[in-house]
Amino acid sequence: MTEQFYEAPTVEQVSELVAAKFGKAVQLKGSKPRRVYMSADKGVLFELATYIHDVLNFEQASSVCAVDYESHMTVVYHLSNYFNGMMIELTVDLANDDLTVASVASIWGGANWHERETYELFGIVFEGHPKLERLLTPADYQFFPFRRSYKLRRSD
Amino acid sequence: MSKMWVTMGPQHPFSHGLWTLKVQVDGEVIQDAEPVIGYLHRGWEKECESRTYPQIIPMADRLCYSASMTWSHLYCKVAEEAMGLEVPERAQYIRVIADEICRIQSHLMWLAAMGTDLGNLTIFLWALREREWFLDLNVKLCGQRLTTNFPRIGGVRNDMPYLFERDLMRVVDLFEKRLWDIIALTDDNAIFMSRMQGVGHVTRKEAANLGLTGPSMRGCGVNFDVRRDDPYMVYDELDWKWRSATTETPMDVTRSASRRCSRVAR
Repeated sequence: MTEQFYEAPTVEQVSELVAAKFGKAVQLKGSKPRRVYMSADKGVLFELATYIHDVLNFEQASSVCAVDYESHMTVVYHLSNYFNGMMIELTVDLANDDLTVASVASIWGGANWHERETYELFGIVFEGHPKLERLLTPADYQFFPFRRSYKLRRSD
Repeated sequence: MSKMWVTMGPQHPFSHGLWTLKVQVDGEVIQDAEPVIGYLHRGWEKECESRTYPQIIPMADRLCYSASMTWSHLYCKVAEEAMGLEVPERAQYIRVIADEICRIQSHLMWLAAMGTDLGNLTIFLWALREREWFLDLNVKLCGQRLTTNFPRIGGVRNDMPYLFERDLMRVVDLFEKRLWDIIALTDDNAIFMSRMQGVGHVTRKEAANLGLTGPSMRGCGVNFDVRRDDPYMVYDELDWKWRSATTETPMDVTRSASRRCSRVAR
């Protein structure tokens, strides 16, 4: 690897390095002490995730989840670095007619089940996932229950 | 020898919950495993969609029956951050004390379960006996042993009752003495240690990559504690000592929790 490795990058370093490497494909949404918020285009997600893991040393995908805004869906990744307690909140917007995104399970093993759960609850397909099957709901379940369009009887 | 799949379960030995583990065996060596954890999803987030914010607090308690205060605290903190609310300092201290009480009794619950798993029912009984003191503190503080429904968005439900500090200090002092009895059963017990040490080894890198958290992650050598490295509430103002659990002595965790609780009280 020719790139310099950062064991415990600072908030400024993360923002600058990501902006320099990915340019307009990644929008930085702001930062707080030990927190960086960014939003990425779907196409660069896997490359960005690899960079964040390999170069910036964010070792853990603490959570992968999704939000249904009805107009679109957003996948949210929380990535942690345990050398300085920093966390990146990375969001990827998906259009309703194309709910696919690259899987990061090959980078962070912990993302494997998170992605399966997000798939079965929101119907978002993680491409390249080793085993994208339902985890917490029955295998023959027909619904994606966390979508806004799925109504509980009480809230009708 | 050809490999075959064997189903372990659905009854797990000493069932902490029902689940099935499908294992692929080559002779007597397990090559692969596929857990079937059951249909456990309660649709908590979906339930929350049709409720008001204060109605969610008692639901948050049910996320973990043992350390319920931590979960409702977490939920309240999320709501506070979203609203930009500042919690009064006294409420912050009360929350931290309540959290630490819950943490100790939750660790003791874990130790009791560990004891039964190893067939050592003395550990189980003693840990649960000590745990009752902390549950009594919960009752004094908020009238309920487990699902406490204590934090509120912007504060806590009530102030500490009369002489609560005294009761808390008594319990902590007594617990620190009794802890030596439990340590004699665990850290100083060759049978216990021989069954605990060198089993299920996970490297630091694997632990972080696979998403382990909490004491099990620190046990793998990750030097991180969110209360120390990313402090919330008043943890950064407190004088407390952090202990690494890397020494493979499970009691360290409980011990450090008790110390911390006493520091808070002072």
